[in-house]
Amino acid sequence: MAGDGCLLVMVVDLHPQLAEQESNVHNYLSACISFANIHLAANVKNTLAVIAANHLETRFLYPQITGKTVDRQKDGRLELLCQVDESIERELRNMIVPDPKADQTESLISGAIGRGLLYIKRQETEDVLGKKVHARILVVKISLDTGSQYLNYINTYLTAQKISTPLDVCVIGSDCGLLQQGADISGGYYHCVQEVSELLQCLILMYQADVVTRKKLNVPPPDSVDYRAACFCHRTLVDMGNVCSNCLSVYCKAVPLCTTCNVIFQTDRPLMKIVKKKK
Amino acid sequence: MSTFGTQTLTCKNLQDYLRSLTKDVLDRLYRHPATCLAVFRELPELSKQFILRLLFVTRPVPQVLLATWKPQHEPGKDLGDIAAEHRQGTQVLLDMAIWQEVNDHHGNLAIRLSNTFRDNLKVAILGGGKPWTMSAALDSDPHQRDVEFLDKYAMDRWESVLQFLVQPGQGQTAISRDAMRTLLHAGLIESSDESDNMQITSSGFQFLLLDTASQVWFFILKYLETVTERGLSLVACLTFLFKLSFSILGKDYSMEGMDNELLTFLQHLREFGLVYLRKRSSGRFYPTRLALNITAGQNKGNIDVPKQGYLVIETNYRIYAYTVSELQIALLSIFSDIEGRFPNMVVTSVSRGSVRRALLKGIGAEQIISFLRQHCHPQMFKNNPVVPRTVADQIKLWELERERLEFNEGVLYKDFMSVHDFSLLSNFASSKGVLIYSDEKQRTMVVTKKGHPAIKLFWKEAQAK
Repeated sequence: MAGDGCLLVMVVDLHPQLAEQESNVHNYLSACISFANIHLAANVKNTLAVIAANHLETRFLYPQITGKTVDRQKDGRLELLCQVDESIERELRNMIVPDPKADQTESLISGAIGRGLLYIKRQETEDVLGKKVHARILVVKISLDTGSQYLNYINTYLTAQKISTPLDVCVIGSDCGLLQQGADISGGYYHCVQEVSELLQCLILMYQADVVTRKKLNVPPPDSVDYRAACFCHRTLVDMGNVCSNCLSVYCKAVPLCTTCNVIFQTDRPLMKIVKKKK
Repeated sequence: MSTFGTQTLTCKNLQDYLRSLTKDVLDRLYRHPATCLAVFRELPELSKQFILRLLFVTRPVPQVLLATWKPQHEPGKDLGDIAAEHRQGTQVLLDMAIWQEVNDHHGNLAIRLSNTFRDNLKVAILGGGKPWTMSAALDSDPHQRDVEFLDKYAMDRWESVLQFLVQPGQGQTAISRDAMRTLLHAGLIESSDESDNMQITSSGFQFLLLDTASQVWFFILKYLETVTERGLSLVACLTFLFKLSFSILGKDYSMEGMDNELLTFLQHLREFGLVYLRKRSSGRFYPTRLALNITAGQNKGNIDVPKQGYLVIETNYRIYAYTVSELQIALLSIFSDIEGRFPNMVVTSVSRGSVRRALLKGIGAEQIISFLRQHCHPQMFKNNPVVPRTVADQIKLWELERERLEFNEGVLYKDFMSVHDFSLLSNFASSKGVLIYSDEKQRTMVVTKKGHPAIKLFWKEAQAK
């Protein structure tokens, strides 16, 4: 399998809050691009897709439909890699817009993962001989997360698990329980780095190897996974919640009616009272 | 185990080839980004990881730390194979002088990535440094060539070399003396007597059945072996070849700044169809698909020239070949009998006789089957397996037929004085694993040649007691 090459789909977080630390932006982006380059350089058959996500949209940075080719080599570097960089940089410029209103919402990472999965699936169906594409997804996330995309996340995780595509997650700064679940479900790695400057070395150490080679290398022991679910009413992670017996929706407090499937819960005690009490 | 002295054609991959070079040559090779990247790509997966992990680490890394890269022991998991792979991955890097063994400031044994290699690999992947010589600026070419043209040109050139192999007598004029010299050197053809009468060898037949990428790589390897005789520098040629292999198809490259040596080399590559030059003075060349990823050799068949498969194989051992190319028909007739020729198609059949004929020439069953698989018509790819199982199995059986006898070199021990002596020696031999044959009634035994000295010593000691 090692010789068959691997499709790496990188999901890069481009939340505007990134721009707050000027020095980090450069390090962060160049680490991501360098890692993409290393992946392509490591094997002739390796392929790459880069999807960026900010709070407003997700966008394919590479590959591009309209590929403009570089005229000549500018330095002693592989020409193909130059083209990859140019494509990514060009799209980045289009995408990064300073938006002061953006601080509440989080990046649309789950949507980007979904597009990545679709891209993998398309590559598979486009192959004439119906060959299995060895693919994996790598999510690099820097923004803080809220539980608002909980359902979307879980859906993409289960899809990834179903098409046996490992989902690797590298988080910068604070731990992200939601993404950790995804890595755990789909059989990928999860790691959290403290500083942006450590990012590239960490990516190389942990995420460069393909699935087969990984088994032959040592990895840091996995942390316990935070499997808390987000409630459907306020999108916050709950330790203990109420689950709808009909559709398994999670609520942080008891409700008389499931907002997802509209079923009315029949209980012997009047529910409204309890709700009122809490208020 | 192979019998009757037939040799299978072995094609070294790039890694084996580089390991056969001297440290000095390797050091000079690593001075260019292109070679570093080519070398890096062909390493085993684990070795690649080892290099990448140290790519940004400038200080020597102690061996103790490297040992922690092996996966931790878990119950019920056998780590023996993985440990062996780690050792092998390390050994490759040390052999190729990419890793150097040094002592760190505590005096412990440590490993450092070769500085030249590190710097140039970084340049190749992440940028920096100077552009490669062939990438000098060029005006747009008035005679721009497209990919289709280059593919056709390359295939025509390459097929003329193959054509010469199939019918050495006729194609004398078709290929240059240089190509012929390489073929002779590679042992693909031999001149039967003093006259110029060439004849294809058993290796030559096996060569013909390889896929194009492997053929080109094998041919270039052999060419490189003779390169110093031609007065060219091996390092310069290899470096150029690697640069070429990373170029982009359908793009023109400049000949500016190339010295006479390289220009000669370029001319040779032109003869084999690896590059296209409109004329010598045009100052630019186009690499063809044959030159791209040349280093990938056998590992990566799919970057082959896109060729329409043309063989339809039926379970009744008939092959329908939709081709008009003399070369393809000649290749088919190596192992099958032609039954009928039509304007656009040839019908042949595989039989015991025809396959045995091929086997006698030294071609293996596996090679025939892989040839059939490579050239199957797209329709055939819908079947699984692509080549009908009956046909593939039967060809293998026909090969096995010829290998009923197994030859082993050995030393015969006989005329033992007593049964005790005999059993003592035969027990010792079998415990060492060197016993090939023993017969108690006749009191004879045969041990392998390797085991002979040990047995002799043991016997002498036993006698002395």
